[in-house]
Amino acid sequence: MKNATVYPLKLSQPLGGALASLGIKGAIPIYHGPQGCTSFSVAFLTRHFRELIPIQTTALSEIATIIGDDFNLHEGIKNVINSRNPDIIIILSTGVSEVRGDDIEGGLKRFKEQYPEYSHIHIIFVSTPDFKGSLEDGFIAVLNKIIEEIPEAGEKIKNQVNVIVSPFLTAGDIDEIREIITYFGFYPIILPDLSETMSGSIDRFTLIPEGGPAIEDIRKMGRSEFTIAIGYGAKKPAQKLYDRFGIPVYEFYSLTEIESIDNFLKLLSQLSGKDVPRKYIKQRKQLIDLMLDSHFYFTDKFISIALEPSHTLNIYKFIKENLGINIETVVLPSKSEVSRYIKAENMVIGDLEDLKNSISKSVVLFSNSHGYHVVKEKDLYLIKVGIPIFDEFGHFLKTYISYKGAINILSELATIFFHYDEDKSYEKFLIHSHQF
Amino acid sequence: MIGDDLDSACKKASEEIGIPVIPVHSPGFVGSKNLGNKLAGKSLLDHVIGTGEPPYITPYDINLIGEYNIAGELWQVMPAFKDLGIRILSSISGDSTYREITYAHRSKLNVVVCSKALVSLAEEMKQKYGIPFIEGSFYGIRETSKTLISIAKAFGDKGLLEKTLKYTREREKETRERLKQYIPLLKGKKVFLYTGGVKSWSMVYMLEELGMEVIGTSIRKSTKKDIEKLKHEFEKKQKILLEKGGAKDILRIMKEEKGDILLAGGRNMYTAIKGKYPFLDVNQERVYPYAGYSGIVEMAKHLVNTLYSPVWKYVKDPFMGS
Repeated sequence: MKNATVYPLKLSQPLGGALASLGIKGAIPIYHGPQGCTSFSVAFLTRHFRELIPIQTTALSEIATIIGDDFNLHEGIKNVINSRNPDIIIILSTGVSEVRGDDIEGGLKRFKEQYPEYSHIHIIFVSTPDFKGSLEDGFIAVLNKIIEEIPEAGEKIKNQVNVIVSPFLTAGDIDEIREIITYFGFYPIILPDLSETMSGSIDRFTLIPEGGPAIEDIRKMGRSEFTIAIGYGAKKPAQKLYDRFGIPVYEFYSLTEIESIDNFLKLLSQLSGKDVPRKYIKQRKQLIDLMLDSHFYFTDKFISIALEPSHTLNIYKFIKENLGINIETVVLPSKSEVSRYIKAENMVIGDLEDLKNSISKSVVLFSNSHGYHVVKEKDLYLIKVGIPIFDEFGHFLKTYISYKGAINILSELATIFFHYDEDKSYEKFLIHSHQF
Repeated sequence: MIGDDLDSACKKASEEIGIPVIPVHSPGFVGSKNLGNKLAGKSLLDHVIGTGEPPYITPYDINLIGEYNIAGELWQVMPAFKDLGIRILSSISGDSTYREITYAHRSKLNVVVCSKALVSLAEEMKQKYGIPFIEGSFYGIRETSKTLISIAKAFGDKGLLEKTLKYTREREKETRERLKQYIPLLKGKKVFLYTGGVKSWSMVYMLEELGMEVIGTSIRKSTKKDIEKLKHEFEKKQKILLEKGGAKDILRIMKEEKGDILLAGGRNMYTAIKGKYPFLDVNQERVYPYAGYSGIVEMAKHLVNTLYSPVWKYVKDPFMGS
């Protein structure tokens, strides 16, 4: 392990925690830490989503950091309640508050005792130290805590379905899932639902997420018929719903990989008694035809991936299992169980410099906008996915899951391979031509 | 059809712009692509060849005729000539320049690579300039070696012949080594070859070298010589020689003969895809070169890629009867 990060790939846990909070109606995330921690996240997510990002901070000053009482935490919560009137506040710890060893759980308990007038507001604390884990860990930690604290048991609500999503899903992905599930006659509660808050569908100035599942919906999640977990990361929160309420869980580590999509549709068809709609059968045929048309260009091709763990697994399964394309290097920002399911020539926990140093055969890199540095130096193509995407408009609206999403990825990838091979067939020209 | 005097129009244009303008009498309503090739060859002979002189000559200057540098195939065989000290004076007409063709008449030997299209050019050059010609192919190990050796023999130079024999032996060994990992995957796979001309027989050899079983080939655009070679190769075996056929005939043969893969031109790619058969494009639109020693390795890789692509697992509709 090197003692420096060059071209970081890792995004912080509080950022992931905030991301999850932004997909819940009336939720405000508060970073318990100095302002700098927060403003960076706000700037980062603003550039990614091109939306207002309502993250708040307890703004620990140097003095507050040394004194270390509940003052900043309590004042911060009170200010947010008075100015924003949220339904739920999610306190996220930062490096500073974690290292200082703040008793945030205790501070929160004391707040609730001191200010009973705010008892109608859900305030939860999630430990998200930024020196550990990555975006996905913070995101999942928030979902875990919400599911531990909010859903309630009760009579089953017919046709109600929980959908837990991993952080890599775009608004396009979430809308696609909603459409499919709704078609089969189910009513999905999607946690979190960034498509309702971060995709441009809110067209007025607001300081609080106005879409996504409300606290009332989350409470009802304990009464759903079943839970669908999308992406590896969603597995644990979904499991918690099972542990608490016995709700059956169906896990999909990928929804871009064909057999997983087939199984997803078959499952919904079985549970609802409805046939798979013609629309999806048609899309599947189109995808297979595209695979047939393009597979001639896959000979000897390698790609590499540098993304958050669940996202990596989702794409990996499609590229490796369905397309049969070789995977040269996979870089994960932090340790993850997903590495068990991935076979690549090089598996690295690290940064984009590590990626750069372990690529020699790849034609394409799947990574976020920061992958630019690597592709520029190594002369490869970048397919931009994940977070952040700073330099593409409408990226969050694109679909990367379901047959439709697989078509989008494959058409981009195959076009690159085609041009790459065409260019390569002229390379020999430089070596052999015109011997005079 | 309206009787334009193309020749004098070209002559006039040539005087005006100071660049040679060559007429090719190639009426679209007469003959096939092959006739067009032949006519263009005639034009080269009448208007271009013999109008220039090379910067220098060597004792081992040859022309390649009918080599179109498809997907860089000329560049793929070029190293062999370089290694043997044989210079390609003019290549007609893959990766060639006008100037290079003007002095093609200074070559010592013409090597005709695609027999049907331009063998007439070689015949006429023999008459006009006394340049002998041989026919050959660079598809497959055996044919590549054979062609190189016949070139060496044609020069009647003992040293060159010995050098070529040694070279081809070494390259053959090296190529077989490189093919080792692919051959077990290709062995016994049934292939139907739907192409024309020289490839109809030379690629049959090539595929057999890869351990594949050729269930048949087409003989469109093949010369009598091509067909004879094929009949000789297919002797005693019941093989299909498809004279003319469309997509439906191809699919019927694939089904009846339990073919594993179709090799044809780009137009029939979709015949194969709709029939859910692995496929390899062997005609001119492709981007992968299959000539020479490295070409057979390249072809083996692409054959394995399409035959073993996971996509075949998914072609069946999983929702049937759901």
